[in-house]
Amino acid sequence: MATMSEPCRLLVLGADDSLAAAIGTRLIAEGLCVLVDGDANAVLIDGMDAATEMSFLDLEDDAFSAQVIDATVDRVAMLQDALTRVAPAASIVVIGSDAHLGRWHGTGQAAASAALLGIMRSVAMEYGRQGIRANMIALPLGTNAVDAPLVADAARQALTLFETASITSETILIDGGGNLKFRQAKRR
Amino acid sequence: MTEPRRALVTGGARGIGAAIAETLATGGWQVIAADIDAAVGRTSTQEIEDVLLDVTDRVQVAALLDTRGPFDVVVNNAAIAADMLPFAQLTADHFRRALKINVMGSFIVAQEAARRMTGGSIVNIASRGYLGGIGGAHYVASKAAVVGMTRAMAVELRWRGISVNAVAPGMVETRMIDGFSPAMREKLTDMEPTGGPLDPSVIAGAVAFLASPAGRSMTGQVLLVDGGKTIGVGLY
Repeated sequence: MATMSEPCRLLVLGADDSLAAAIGTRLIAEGLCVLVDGDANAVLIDGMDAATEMSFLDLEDDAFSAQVIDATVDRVAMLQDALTRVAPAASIVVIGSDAHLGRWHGTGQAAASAALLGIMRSVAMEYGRQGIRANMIALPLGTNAVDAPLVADAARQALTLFETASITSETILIDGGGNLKFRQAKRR
Repeated sequence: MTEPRRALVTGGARGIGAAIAETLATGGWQVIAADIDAAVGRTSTQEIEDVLLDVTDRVQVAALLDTRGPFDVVVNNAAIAADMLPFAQLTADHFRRALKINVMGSFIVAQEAARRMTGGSIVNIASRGYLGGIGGAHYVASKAAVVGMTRAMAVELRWRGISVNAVAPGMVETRMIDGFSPAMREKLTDMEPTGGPLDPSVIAGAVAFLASPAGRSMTGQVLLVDGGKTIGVGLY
């Protein structure tokens, strides 16, 4: 487990411009983690969904397949890769979206986000006996690496999940209360 | 006299799907039971018509809905559960197959049906397994995706008068669990609060409720039908 006095050994899996990479960069810049390729005790995995919107009735098979099947297969590959490169008692944090809660014109993202959540929980259950933990930070769909306040909040939360040995299989929403849907309700 | 209500049940040849078809038919529904395999131990009747259907084939699905639809209720039950391996042993093909049949198939049927519906109800059969499990992460992913999809569909289709919900069964006595080893079956049975697998008719009852006028006032919900295992009944 990482501590404040000992920087975490961080493995980041995802594209260079991903939200996970931005969060990792922030943790490293603040001296809270060092980047490693193996023997990591902290892992960030990119699981953010594409922000494209399409109505359910018009969503085409190819787009749905890319959003759900291809994205999930990629995320599974990253998780499986990470599990071969972690130290005992490592903490995995998946950076995903809030789409699993259900959203207008976001059927594919909802399915993909929920699938990732299910996989994260399965990993937490399967690897818990080895001391490996898995959690998810869910940000609003469309959040990207330049959303500085959300990146900062997600980085702080990721560090907490790295350091807290008793938290596993949880999903932390960092959405400013968006899941309460009060803004949508007000508009309607 | 009102017209008979019409229901489509995919994966309706056996197991949970057959029980749903029979329960709805008993309740006065006219049911099309669609399955990739022929029905076993049942011949088509006036109340239940068995048809062959591959839910992943959009042309087949659209043709069925054009000739037999529209339906008041669509139950997405067709699914596979196989190779419940540890996460590290699962391949991309395991995930692709589970997601294609369990998620893409439900998506195609629901979308084609909804395009032709002016109200009614769509019920997606998920699984308690959507909450995660040891082994079979591809199945978990597929059923979790069905739940996520249910919520998104509910948001959009409510404005067309269509409610969309999911039923998440616990362990049910179907051929899906026939593939388990005796040791695994015994272990899983011991963990069931009800002392063993649920009868498929229990799941059918939940679907019948969601298909009813009272059930249609719910949307975007997941009805866990698992004897309370989710909250730990039977563990103490």
